[in-house]
Amino acid sequence: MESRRKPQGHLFRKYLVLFVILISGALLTSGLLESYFAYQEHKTALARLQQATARAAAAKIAQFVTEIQHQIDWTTRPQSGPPEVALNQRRFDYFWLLRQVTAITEIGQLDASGKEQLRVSRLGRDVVGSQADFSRDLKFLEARSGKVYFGPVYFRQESEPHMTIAVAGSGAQAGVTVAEVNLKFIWDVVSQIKVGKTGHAYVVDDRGYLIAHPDISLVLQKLDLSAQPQVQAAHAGVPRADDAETTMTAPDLLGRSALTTYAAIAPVGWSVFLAQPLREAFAPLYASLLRNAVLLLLGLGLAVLVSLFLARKVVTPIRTLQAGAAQIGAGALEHRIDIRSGDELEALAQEFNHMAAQLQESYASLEQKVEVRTRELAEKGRQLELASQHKSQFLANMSHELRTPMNAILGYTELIMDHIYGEVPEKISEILERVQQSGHHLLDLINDVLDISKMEAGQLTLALNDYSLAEVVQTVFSAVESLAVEKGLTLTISLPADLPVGKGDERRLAQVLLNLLGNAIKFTEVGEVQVRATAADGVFTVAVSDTGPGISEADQQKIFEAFQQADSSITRKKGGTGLGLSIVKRIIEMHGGRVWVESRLGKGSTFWFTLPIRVEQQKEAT
Amino acid sequence: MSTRILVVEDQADNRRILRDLLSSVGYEILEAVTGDEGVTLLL
Repeated sequence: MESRRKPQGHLFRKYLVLFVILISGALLTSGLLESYFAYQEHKTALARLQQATARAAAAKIAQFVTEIQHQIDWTTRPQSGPPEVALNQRRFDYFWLLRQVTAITEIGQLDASGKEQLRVSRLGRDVVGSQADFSRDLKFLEARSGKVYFGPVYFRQESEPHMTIAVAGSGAQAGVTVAEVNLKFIWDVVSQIKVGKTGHAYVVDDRGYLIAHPDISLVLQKLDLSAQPQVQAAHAGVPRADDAETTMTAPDLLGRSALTTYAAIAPVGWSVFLAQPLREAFAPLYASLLRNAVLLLLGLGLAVLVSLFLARKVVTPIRTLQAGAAQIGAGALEHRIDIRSGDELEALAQEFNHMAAQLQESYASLEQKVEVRTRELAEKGRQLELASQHKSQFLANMSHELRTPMNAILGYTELIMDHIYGEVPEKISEILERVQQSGHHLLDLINDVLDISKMEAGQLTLALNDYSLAEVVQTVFSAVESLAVEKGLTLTISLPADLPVGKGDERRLAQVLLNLLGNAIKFTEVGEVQVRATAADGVFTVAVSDTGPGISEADQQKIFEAFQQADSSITRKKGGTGLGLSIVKRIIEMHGGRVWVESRLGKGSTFWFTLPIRVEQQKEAT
Repeated sequence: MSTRILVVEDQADNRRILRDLLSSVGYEILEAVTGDEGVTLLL
């Protein structure tokens, strides 16, 4: 039981891991979801704000351009009167326009064939009738085709962004008014827009060139931004009111990743871009995320602590239960498990306690019973011992008491037959012979029964002394020779000359041989009886064979048992006690030898026995 | 002078058988029932 392998318990660890996973999982999920939604909301809000600003700026710029366009439109109305007057009138109009609209730097008139008729400038003198041919110029062609021409942005005096606007008058003979417009206003608008700390606005024209930026030097570099994703998106997409559509993440002009929003300036095909570096745009969000992370970490720490507490609370009673059960299992039945969790575990502990109490009780009563039984058995043993002593005593007495009257019977009979008491009539002499035979038989019986009883009671002790097997055989031979001769049987002895000196109970071994030889002679009618003996490996092997009727297989098993003869009628016919072979078997076994028979019906029998040559200690007969 | 034999035997029958047998062949028999008697007779 001690060797039973205990499973290594990791219940505490399992519960701890489970609790930590559960609690931290919930915390993580909620934290991540919260962060995600906060990010989305923040981004949407930012985008919306930027969108509004961008659209406002776009609207402002569009209004500026449209206003100027309107003003120019106004000057294109046909002048009535003779050409001189009309020219002067137009010239006056232009002066007035330059005064009214400060953004217009220069304004001129091309006639229907594209020849310059008039040019009024803030910077130079008026040019009248220069006839310079602009008929191939894009501004003339486009204006004539009915569209307002907005030219590319260019710079005057290296710092002033300008643009050409050309508008055709109504009617086939109407000329084209060409105005050079200073776009500084747009720069002002763009510069005024502040998006956070470092965020800014810029304007890109329809060809992708930067035309307005708070940093004028960038504009002067004539940066081509047409390859940038936000510009491509602005040019490709039809600007819609949807905020998300016009907001994206793109690098700003300094290469920083920025949240970029664009809005189109419809009349000119330009776009206003608002860019705020992501780092700045999401700074509050990052702060909030950091806060969340710190809270999450705190939560996790707390979760671990709580898990430790919970796992301990769950596992401790189970461990107590395990330890208690182990103690009870190891035999400490008086041990009681103390769990006060108020739940199934406490109930379980109580069941264990109950079980232990029951076991203890059963154990106690069992011990008591065992004690009583042991006492009873000891008493029985004493009684048996006493009975056995009585039996031995009885046997010892009987052997003497039975033999004494037998002696008297046989002695008197013999004396009578020897004519000690006078002449005996023939008839009585015959009867006396029968008395003598029966007496001898009875004495044999008594002797055998006493021998068997002594052996069974373990009272027979061998007298172990040196002996010569050859002498023993010879003695027995002499005793039975006359019987064999009487029956006309040949009795032969076959012994090697150099048989070693044996050690054993000579008298009992003679009894064995006498029994075997007596049986052989008794049961054999014709033929011979032979005794052979050899010595090898410290063992005598002796065989007594005859040419008698043989013994059947079944009977071979029984003949060594007490009071068994192959045929019970034989006892009556042949005499004998039926105890001879049983005594033989016991004597041989007490010497540590073995006896057996080989026989077939009608083929005679051979009784074998082995015998240790030097028997130093008496063995137990089975 | 015939040879005397001392028979010490507590059993009367055995004593008698011995006496009858031995006296029939001419011995003079002395009998004793107990060892003490036998010793007394012997001395």
